[in-house]
Amino acid sequence: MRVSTNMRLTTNQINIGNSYGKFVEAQQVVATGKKLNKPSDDPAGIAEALNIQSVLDRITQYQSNINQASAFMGVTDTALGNGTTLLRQARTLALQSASSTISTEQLQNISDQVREITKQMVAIGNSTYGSRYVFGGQISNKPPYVIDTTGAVTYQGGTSANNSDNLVVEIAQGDKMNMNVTGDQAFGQIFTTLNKLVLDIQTGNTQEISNSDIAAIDKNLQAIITSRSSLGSRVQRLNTSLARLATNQTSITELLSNVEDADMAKAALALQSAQLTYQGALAAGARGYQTSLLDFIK
Amino acid sequence: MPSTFSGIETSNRALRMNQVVIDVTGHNIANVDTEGYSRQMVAVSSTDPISLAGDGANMYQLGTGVEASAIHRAQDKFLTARILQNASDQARADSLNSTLEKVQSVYGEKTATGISSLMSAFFNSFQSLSQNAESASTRSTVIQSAKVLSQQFNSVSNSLDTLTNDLQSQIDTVIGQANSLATQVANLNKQIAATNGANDHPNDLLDKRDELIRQLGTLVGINVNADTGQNNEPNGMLNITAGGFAVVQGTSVYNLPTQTKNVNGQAYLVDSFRDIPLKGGQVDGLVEGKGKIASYQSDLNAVASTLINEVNVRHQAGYGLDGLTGRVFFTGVDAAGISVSPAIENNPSAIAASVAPVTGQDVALSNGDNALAIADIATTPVSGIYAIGDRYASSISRIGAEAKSYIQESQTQSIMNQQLQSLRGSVSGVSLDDELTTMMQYQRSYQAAAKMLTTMDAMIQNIIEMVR
Repeated sequence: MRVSTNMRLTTNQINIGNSYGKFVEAQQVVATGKKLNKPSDDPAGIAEALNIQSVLDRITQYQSNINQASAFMGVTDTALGNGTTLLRQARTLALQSASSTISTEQLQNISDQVREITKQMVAIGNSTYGSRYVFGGQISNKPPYVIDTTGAVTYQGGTSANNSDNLVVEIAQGDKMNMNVTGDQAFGQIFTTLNKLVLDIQTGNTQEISNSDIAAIDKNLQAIITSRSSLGSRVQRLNTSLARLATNQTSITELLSNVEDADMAKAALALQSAQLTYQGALAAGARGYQTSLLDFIK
Repeated sequence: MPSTFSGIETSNRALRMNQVVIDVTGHNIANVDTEGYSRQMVAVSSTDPISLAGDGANMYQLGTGVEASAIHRAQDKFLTARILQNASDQARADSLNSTLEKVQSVYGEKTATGISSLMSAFFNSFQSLSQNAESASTRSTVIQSAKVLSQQFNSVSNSLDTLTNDLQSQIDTVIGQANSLATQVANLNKQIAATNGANDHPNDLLDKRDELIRQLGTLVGINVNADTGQNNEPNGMLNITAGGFAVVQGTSVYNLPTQTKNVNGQAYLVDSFRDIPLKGGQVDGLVEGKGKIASYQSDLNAVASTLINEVNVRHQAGYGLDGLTGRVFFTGVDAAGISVSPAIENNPSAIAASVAPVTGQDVALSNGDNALAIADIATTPVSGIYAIGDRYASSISRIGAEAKSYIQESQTQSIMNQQLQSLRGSVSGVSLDDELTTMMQYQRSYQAAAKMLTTMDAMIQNIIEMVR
């Protein structure tokens, strides 16, 4: 083929330009560590990467949901534990007061203790996590239990009747869980029971105490324990979900990495070879201009 | 017997011919770097012999030397047409490539400020809200993330508008250039037709016209035909049409319009009389680019309006901390207009996180079920099988795929261009080595002819001295 002078120059120019372009491209991959820097790098991959990223974002959110729920439920569990202990004390006191040999002073003393237990029980019912009353259901901004001067206790938290009982938290995609126990579920008629006990002790109605009050306390005790074990199994579910999310996070992060991260060893080799090609093109270009017939005409 | 001076005449012709070849060689060397220049060659032929009476009845023919009969340019018409076509195709692909490159950077995927990740953050803020429905700070976070998201929609939409305007102003400029090139071609047509009449070879004018036509072809896809004038004979002029519209007709020029439209992926230039379909050229790329941006914008608007509708429908069903319901969360209908409703932005309590109305004293402040329902939009298929994030991702994937296809087409055309240019160079390009060889060759011939002349001169000198 006949080669014109200009062809030699432009071919060199194009070769140098092309190899420089490839060199810069390879450099960017190595510098960013990513092979997916813009959608056109891998059109199918970008959709995958965006979707995977949003799944990862959601997982992070679920983890934060779970951590918060977990702390909330921890407070609830402690409160229920303390409630159980108190109620057991009340039961012991009730048994003592039902004994036939007890004096009036002792009865007075016991009724004072039960009253004190009632107050502590109210305090437990009004436990908070942050600024939230954990037993208030959806009405968490005001104390669920109010005690008046006569010692009567009323519940003003959320109830299932009003559809304001459950605090729902999403712990994995589509997996929604109720993270709370309302006061009326856990403590039920406990305050009515305790107040009746106080009254029966004061009036020395030992028969009523042994026939009905102790049974009522047992029933309430059972209710708290049931609530607590239900809570415990839900905490278990949280932990399972958290572990699963962590596993998913690892495998999905790996997927994302497959889509968008460069294979560094490969990228480094590619950079090296691009650099060699570029240097070769430069050298060939410089040498190409050196000779022509002009050099030999005297 | 030949005339005494015929030898001098023969040498003189040889000198002249050599002179012409050396001149043409000089012209070639001078134009070694001229864009579109075709190397010129001298057609050399021997001149007609004269018949002379020899001894007796014999006749013989005596040669009279040489002449430069014509100067041609080395050119391959087929190659010229291919180069023109390739120039159009490449300019179109390059233009689309550059437009899509800009579009990709407008979307800014995948970065933390891309719509995709802002949308995740938005839905996640509703997740947090569902768990802390009464918290003022969580409510502010929701509003913040919604504002950032809608501003990004606005900004992408605005930037796409700006790109469209830029493209239109480029179209105006390029059409202006094309019309001016057409005028220059028509002028050259006139000059060429004039010299053509004299049976001349206006090589440099032809080169100049070819180069102008190539430049015109990079701007607008064109067809080139020989003008045959009235007596149906080629008159040396070329007619140029773009999509059936006569741009240059002999010595007349008709300006291309700058209005554009896209129908089913075909780009048109439009004036009040006709639609001119574009095939190739920078203008085609620019007009198609406008069409592509419009379709990306409609994809983006679809995502924005889906987001607005889905969030609003669910938000309107819920209740704010103030017990009121039926309020929209977003205002606007598309990506350009989406914004957080002022009623919400100025009053975070108005975010309808709750599904239950506030009844009497039992204010269910911590009911976050509606916030959760809104957060669930992220994973719920919307009118079809795709959730909103998937839809957005697939629109980005589409942009990426189209961008990639033009990157590849641009590369293919560029390689083809390289091959065609090198073919053209092989036929028409000037090689200094060749020219220097020719120069040396004809320099020698010139010296020989000159020597011949001085020898003749010496011979005549002898004759003259004889008579003295």
